[in-house]
Amino acid sequence: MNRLTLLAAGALALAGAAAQAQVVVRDAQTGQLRAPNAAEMQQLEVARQLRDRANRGVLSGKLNPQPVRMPGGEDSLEHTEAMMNYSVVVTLPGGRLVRQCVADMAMAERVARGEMPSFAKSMQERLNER
Amino acid sequence: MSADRTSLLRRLALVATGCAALLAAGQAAAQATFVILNNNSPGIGFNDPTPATPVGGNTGTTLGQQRQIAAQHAANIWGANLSSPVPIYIGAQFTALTCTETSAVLGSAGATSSQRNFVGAPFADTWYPVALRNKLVGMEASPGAAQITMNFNANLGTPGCLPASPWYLGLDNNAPPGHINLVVVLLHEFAHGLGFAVSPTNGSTGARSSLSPSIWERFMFDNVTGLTWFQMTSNAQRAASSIAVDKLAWQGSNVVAAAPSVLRQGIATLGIAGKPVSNPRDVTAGEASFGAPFSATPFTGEVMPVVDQANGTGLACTPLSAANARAVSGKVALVDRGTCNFVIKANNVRAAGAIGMIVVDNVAAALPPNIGGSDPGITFPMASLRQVDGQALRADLQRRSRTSSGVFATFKLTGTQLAGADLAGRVKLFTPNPFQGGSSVSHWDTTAFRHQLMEPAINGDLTQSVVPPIDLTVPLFQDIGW
Repeated sequence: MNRLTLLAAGALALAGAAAQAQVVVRDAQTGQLRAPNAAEMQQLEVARQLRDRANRGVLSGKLNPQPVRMPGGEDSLEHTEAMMNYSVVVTLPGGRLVRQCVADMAMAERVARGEMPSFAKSMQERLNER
Repeated sequence: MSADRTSLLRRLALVATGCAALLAAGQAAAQATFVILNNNSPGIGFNDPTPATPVGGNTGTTLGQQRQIAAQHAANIWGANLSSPVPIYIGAQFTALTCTETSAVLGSAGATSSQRNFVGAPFADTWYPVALRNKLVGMEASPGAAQITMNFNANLGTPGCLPASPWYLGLDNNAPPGHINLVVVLLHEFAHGLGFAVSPTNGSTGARSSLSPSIWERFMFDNVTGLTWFQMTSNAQRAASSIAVDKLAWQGSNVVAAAPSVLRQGIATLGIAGKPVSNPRDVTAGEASFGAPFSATPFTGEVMPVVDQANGTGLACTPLSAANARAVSGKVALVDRGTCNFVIKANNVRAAGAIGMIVVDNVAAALPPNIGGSDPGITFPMASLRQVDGQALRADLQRRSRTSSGVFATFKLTGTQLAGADLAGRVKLFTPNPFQGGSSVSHWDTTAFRHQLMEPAINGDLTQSVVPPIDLTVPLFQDIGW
């Protein structure tokens, strides 16, 4: 997904469904802006939902929770999904399984969907397997 | 998920499965009581009624029961090693998470909140993870609320979700090859929830949440600037520190005191000597993640090169020729890095009768590479050399016969520096460049040896101990106030 597409997803997140008519993507082959097809819209929606989920409090579900002043002057900051630690497992070439901590929820999802072959490659390089 | 919904599901799950007694019975008579709050609905996750055969000390007879027992077992290990006058609640569930045939999200976990400026806080304007805050105050910030949350993959090992790699639910740390040891993964993730993390400070940007540092920052010592993250005056300083390879270390007194009993003392070294060697010398060696590790007992062998390339070097990526096999049989085989992985090279020279292997780097670098990979069938010692050191060794080998060189390499440890610590004995934190989200800063460096529970990748040789002389996690927790 190119940069413009991501920007479009941001617009979706801000303006909701009403903004869908304004969403454009840059065609990878022609370089021209155009309306997204159904598959691209679905990708954008998945990305939007992931961002939305990442910024919600893990207890209250509130978006972007802020510190709350408690009686006695104590502050409490609810953590978001984005602050969780994710554990992913990837099969390296040759069949070896590697488990790795990943804090970025979107990255964890992409790794698990096999959309980041570069992750497995970098893991292999970091592990100096060849 | 809202608090109301969580509470409702919890009640439903407990009523539906009758597992309240089981969970209560699973709580250890420990210094801290950990309670697993079952957030799954009836019939799924912790309540999955699929029959299961007891395995590795896990006596559950359904999949759900075995998951509960494994989770409580991991929690009890922390309970036996930490103290708190109030219960530590873990909101827990198994759900369907993203996966494919070859990769998966195993799960997620973390603290549910941070607190600052509570009564009796050791440091003002400093964020503490809620479970630690509760311990220090002696009272729960929100009675009964989860202080740690965890969500793990219910589908692992099923068709379409790493089908050959299910969870190993045994408690005995004896997972078959290819299985994922749930207890060890939970130990690691619970530790993040208990405070083994720089959050809520952003490890990548160095930005603080509401301008306050986390307690973790007071112990992160940057060897470049001579400052802790707490002392740094800008986000940019902290961001630079997060990618200062090999330079960020933990200065907490409990970890520094415990490190000599946990980490190996001495740097991996190859001693090069023999009649043809004009300058007998010690050179720094890279280590292997498989084979016989460097130890206090030196190993010495005669070195012979593999020659299978036109320029006189040797890759050993295919079975050795008869001439090469005769040369390295009973010797330490010298090979070059590249083309195939280290496991293949090691197996090829082993098949020819070699008793060790030295790999010469194929690029100029400041340090010799680690020899990564895994093969329990390889039991001989291995080491790597920087390209320049390898070239010098090859020069020593010029006047050899077909089966003998007279050049000997001794695999040994030298000096007193701890493996994974800086020169002052501070244990290094993981700071690769570029920054690796989730791994950088909030884990021990991968050069630690013995391997540690809180390295970014979970190593296969981990035990379930979280204290010295095996592990440094509990000393770190003591440093931050546990």
